[in-house]
Amino acid sequence: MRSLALNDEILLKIDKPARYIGGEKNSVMKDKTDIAVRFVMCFPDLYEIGMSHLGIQILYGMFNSYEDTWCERVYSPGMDLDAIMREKHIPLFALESQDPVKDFDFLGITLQYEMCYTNILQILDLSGIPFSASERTWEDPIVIGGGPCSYNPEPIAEFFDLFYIGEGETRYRELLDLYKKDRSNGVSREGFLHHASLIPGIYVPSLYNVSYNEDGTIASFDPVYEDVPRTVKKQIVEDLSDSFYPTKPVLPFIKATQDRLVLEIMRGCIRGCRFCQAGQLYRPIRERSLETLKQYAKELIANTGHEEICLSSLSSSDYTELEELLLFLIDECEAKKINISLPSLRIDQFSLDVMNKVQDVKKSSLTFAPEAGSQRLRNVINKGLTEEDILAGAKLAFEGGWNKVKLYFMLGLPTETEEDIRGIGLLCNEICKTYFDTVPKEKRNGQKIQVTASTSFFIPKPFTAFQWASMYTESDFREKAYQTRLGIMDTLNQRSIKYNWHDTDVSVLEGVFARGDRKISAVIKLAYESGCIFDAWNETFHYDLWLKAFEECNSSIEFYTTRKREDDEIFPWDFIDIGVSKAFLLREWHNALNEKVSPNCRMQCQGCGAASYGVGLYCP
Amino acid sequence: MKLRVRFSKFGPIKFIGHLDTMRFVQKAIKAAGIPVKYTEGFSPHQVLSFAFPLGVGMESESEYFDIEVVSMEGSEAFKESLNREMCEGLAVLDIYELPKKAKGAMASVSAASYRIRFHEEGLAGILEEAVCKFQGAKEVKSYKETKTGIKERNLKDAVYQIESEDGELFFMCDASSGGNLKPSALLEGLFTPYGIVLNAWDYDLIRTEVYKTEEENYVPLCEGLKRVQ
Repeated sequence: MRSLALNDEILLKIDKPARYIGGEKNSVMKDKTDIAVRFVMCFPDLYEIGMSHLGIQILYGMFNSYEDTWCERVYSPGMDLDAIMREKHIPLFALESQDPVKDFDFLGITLQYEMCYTNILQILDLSGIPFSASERTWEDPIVIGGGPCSYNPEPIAEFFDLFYIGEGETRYRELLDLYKKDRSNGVSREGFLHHASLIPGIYVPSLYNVSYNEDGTIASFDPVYEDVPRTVKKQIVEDLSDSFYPTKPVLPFIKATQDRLVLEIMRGCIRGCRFCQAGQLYRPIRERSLETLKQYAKELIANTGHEEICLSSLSSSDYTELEELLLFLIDECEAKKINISLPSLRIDQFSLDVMNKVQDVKKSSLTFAPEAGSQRLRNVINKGLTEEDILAGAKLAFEGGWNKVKLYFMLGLPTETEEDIRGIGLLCNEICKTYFDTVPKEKRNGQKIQVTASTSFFIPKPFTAFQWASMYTESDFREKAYQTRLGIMDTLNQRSIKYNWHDTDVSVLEGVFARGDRKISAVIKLAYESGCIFDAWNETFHYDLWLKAFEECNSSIEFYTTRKREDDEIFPWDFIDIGVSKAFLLREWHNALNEKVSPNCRMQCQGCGAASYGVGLYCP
Repeated sequence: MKLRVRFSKFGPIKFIGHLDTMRFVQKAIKAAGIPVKYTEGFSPHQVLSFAFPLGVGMESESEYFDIEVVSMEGSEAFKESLNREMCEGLAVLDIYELPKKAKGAMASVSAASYRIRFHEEGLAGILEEAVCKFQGAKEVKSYKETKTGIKERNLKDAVYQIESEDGELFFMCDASSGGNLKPSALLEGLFTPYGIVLNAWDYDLIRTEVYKTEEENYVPLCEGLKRVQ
């Protein structure tokens, strides 16, 4: 039996000790004396959040399929344990072996959202690893970042030795082999990093120099050595049906936030929504074959005994064999008493039929994401959903017995006017009207229509058409939320409409980090040192401390958020090549300002550039 | 057909609480392909009940749950299949057939026995003396704070057997739904006279058996049942 890094006294005093003991089913134990490379994979948030993430399960399974490598896991300790570890000088440990993180060869950190940046520092701090990559020696692991936020790694570049740009299934073997070779040849840490920078998709921040213009924008971004590539190319899996898939996922004892099996059906998205970063990052569109998915579903169920399975992709309705897949799952899962949790499908007769079959009708509500209140603004953001689509879908749903509708909108989109905001209330009202027109009084069974409108604040993200867009200030955001509420209150059916809105402060910070540059790392470090941590959690978010950190670092929030960006500005992330070209994004930015809609990939190729990978489903 | 499964729980998994252990076992049953019966209705669940919740921090040599299966086909492999789906520290020991009319596991429990290993070696002498005194006493009072005030109880009525050996404490006590005695309450009764306060992390607490009452005797929950071959 394994011995634990924490003693009984600590484990009995803290919340959810199960987060820290490992030993879950399908977790992997190896004999460390047989192992050449020890990798610890980190999701810098609580265990329950991190265990819900598919990406780590993929890499964990893949690494552990290598005989010479042992991959373990670590998550952010909760605040209760954090305090105890500091007081008693207990180093952060990996769950499987319970060995200190500092003893590992690699510490991989997945970057799923910007608001986890201070938690990265907590991980390093508790592990006893210097924050700054330049201060590390071979006594420390190689700290490597990956995931969506690594597409603008600059705000946290100082804290990482390497970033892996792209899908992890492709280049890690090469990196591990290089590591083994360089370590046995006594190569210096700097030497290894230099070699690593030559592997496609690997970005070594310390090997690039940035110079700035007087106004603070970037003047140049150059490699330090001649052989270091000027651009880093995103790596992708060419054949999804032939890549590693974790059919033996680690099964947490305590309920994870997303406590279900995940079947990833495709990567990429044909819809070119101009605000959406994932839609560009994961291009070109690649599907897993139906046969492969059937096989994976069977194995997943057999290997876990889980009671729920869900499909994962950016837009499941666009999967070409969705109907066949769902019919197979319904069949398979009914016999085995497994729930199918459906992703947000486009609402039509087929999806409603499927939902009727697999879900408890009484509980479920329907979700639409119009994102903007008016057709004009929906054209600006290239969201192909029209009011007719929504009302027709709602009508079908009401006829099928549904009476709850959820709507998602964004406030602060480029070119937004008061009229667009008023459109949110009007659309909600139309949906209520559709309900009353569709379902006669005697058929309502005392039920009422319930519309929930939620707004978040638009945050411009790198590698989107809106990377040039200005963001609004907190007070603008508050005003917009207020106007939305007034607009809803003004409608006839306001009593059937509930309105939720997002926090403004967090959105502003997320906006800074999303398009930030290397100068931001000093702010993050100072904020962490003054007590900022778990910024994604309301109860631990301290905006005042952040504002103070910006002030003390002489850093302006507005430079990153509200400032107008010229078409030819060099962005901090321009050195990354995701396949989608900057010229295409700029064209789309101008199309947006001209309220011009672009057709989706299936209708007509827009020449975004992702065709260069040669594997896109709809690429010419 | 109803089955009674006896299992043990040791090691780090003692920090997994009762409900999470139950959720884990449900998944293991499903993954093992045991033809378990499901309830009817919108959200069917396995017909499964645990005899006696095991608190966080406690290990056990002998725990029980009952399940209902729709078929006994392949039953000789049930134990092996289940064990293949278990995690570190959980092991299925035996599976028994439960007669149709038998009381369910939870309703049957009347007593439980425990073993306590103290981390502080110096306690051995005091323990021996305290147990001796307890055995000789007519009444050992225990006080429990409840919503309606402080409740007094005579531990002598709740503890059926008690002895110490090599610094370890062994005892059997009331575990019925109305009168379950918490091991910590007995420790308080034993050590308070010596001014010693023990925390849950000062000792290893292991449940050694769970009992039902048969003809006024306490017998293990699996007593008299036919083992599934």
